[in-house]
Amino acid sequence: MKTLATYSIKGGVGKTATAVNLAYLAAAQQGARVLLWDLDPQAAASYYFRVKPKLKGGVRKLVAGKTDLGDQIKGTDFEGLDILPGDFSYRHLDLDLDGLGKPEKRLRSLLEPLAEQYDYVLFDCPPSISIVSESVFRAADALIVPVIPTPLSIRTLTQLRKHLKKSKVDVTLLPFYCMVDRRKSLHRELLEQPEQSKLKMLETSIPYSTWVERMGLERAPLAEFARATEAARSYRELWWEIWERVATTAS
Amino acid sequence: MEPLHFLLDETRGWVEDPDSPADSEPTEDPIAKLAEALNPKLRIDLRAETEEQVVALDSFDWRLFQAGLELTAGDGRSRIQTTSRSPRKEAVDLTAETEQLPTFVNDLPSGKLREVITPVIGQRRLLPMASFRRRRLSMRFLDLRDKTVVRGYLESVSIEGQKKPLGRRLTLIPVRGYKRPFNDVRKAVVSALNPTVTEQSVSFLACTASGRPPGGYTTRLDLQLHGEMRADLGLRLVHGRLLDIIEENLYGARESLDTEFLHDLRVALRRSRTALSQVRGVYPQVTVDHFKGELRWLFRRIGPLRDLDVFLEALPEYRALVAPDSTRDLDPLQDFLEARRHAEQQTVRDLLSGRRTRQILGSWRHFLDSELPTSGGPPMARTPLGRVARIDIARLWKRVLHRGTRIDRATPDPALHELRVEIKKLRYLLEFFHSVLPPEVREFSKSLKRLQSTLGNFVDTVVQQRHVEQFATEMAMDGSASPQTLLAMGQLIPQFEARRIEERGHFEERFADLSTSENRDRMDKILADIQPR
Repeated sequence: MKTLATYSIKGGVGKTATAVNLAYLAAAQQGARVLLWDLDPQAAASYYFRVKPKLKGGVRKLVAGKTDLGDQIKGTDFEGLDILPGDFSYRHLDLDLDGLGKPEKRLRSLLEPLAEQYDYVLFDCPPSISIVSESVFRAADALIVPVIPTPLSIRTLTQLRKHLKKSKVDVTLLPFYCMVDRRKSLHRELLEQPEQSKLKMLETSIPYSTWVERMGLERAPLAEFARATEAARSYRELWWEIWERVATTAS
Repeated sequence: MEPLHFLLDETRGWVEDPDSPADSEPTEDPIAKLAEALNPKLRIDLRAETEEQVVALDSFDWRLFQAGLELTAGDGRSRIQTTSRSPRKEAVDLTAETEQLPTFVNDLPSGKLREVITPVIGQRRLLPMASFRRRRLSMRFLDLRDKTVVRGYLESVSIEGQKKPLGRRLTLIPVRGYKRPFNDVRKAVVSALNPTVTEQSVSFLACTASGRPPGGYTTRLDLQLHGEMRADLGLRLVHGRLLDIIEENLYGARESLDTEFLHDLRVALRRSRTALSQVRGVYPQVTVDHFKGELRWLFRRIGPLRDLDVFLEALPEYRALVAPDSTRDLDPLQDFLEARRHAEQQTVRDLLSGRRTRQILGSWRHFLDSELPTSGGPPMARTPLGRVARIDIARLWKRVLHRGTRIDRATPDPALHELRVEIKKLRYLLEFFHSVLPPEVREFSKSLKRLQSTLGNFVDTVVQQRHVEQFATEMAMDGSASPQTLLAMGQLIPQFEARRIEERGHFEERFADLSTSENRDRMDKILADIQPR
């Protein structure tokens, strides 16, 4: 089982849209068994998949191991793709984890019983850097980091890289440009800067597209309603690039 | 929760019924009825209908089926899935691209699918067990928020060569976390469609409808005989089952679909001959003499091909016995054996489709199905079967003990061969009549099998050694072997000799195992109540 996470310190960069599309592509294109864990109290990923944002007993009992994680999982509309829904109680997840021993290892140990059931687990993380994200860093094999080509967004990537190095966390970082709008001179300038190579971005970037915004209306991944669009094609290429990278890393 | 399968149109049947009219598709629309029963809680969203030509594959003896696996091929890919009888903890569902129908496991691309199949199938040929056309209509059951809460599909199947489509099969697949709607749909299916629940897959049902019920092949006799039945009836039942096995294997042996067809055919012939010659005074002597001769003739004619099959199957192992730089020197031997096998296969094909074979098997069947004599006849014909079985087993047991105890380290090899033949006969009789004998047969047979295995290895080694010498002579004469090849073949002889000596060294211990007082007591119980003849 490979564990991935869509993560960014910054909000509004397209983490959830990425998580939803990649999880769908892994299941639909590759026939993999995928679990998407919606860690965000906003529960947008659960909304996209038409699953009620509700955890029986709340998140505290879940992370304490008092409720069975498997019983909380819901199947989505798509074969091979399940979701552990978000819940408003995730807003207290930092506190709940802090109250447990070795909080940074908690998510990894909760996933162990699922190792035989899924090929991929994908965390959709809330923005911020906290105990929750520390726990995700230690549970994940790779962090998929959407970055908008703006100075502030790039800065958060540099911050994250420094933090991981300092904390000696062994996780592969897979940043990629998202919501790229080549009509904007700022986006073009940043993408063409000679320092680009230092950022070690993935080759695929996701263009800004109103089709991505329509996902909330259609409540489905792009490939289900806008298969032929550039955004949908870019997500397909992004998944293959990520898959090639993670297939060679150990679980 | 596991998927549920329902057979609709039960009256139409999944097995070809020659009396039912060759009518068209069933007219009733089960989806409409089901939608009505689910309204307004759930609605059905129909997806695209797919149609594909599928071939179900398995070895001649259903090894995949027995292991709880199902291999299908169609539309450029092969798929392996676990079935309801799978002992595996985790379900398997793997596909691989295969442009052509795979014949052996090596025809499958390397990967997980091949890894799952290889230990089960080994070198056996993958045979098409059923060829059918499947139409599948996928559907989703949506709740009031348009969330998929149950998945399903409706399949209809047409067997190649059969005009009438088979009945339809509805499958419901639970969606994790939505148990209640699954139960609602299940109840609606039951009440609206009045179906039959089945655990069998479409492949299983198609194979059954094609006249090849999965797992239907076995060389076990599985006969439940009664000790009190007349001996000629019991013996005819044994011979009848053996003749079934012979006939089941005729086509595969003739077409060389898998070497095991010929093997099973030959074993069934040998068992038939043993039952003829060792169960005495039950059939008229003239019948015994006639069919003994006829079955022996057939048995001996197919022997050379079987010998070549055995040698060719063992050749990779023999290659490992010679020095590494001589391995390739055995290639001409393989070519020689394959050419000979090809010629021998033609002979066997002609033989098995020939008039004499048909006559032998036809007249044998005619005799076995004929009326039993109501008076007179051979001396033991109307004696209770249990008694006849015990008398013949006692005679063979005595002979085995007598021959076995006379063998020591100085005894020439042919004596061991003769003992092996007697043991085989004794084992066959115990197998034929185990249902009329006490349970001690089971434990006794285990010791007998161990001894038989040692003697079998010993004799096989002697035979293979003789074959190598004979092939070397023939290849030297026809110029198909270089000196290097002859030298490589020569390297095998001391290896066979070492193995022969090793196996012979085990004989004493194995025979002592068989002739322990426990086993003698067991045999006394098996043979209890026989009056002197």
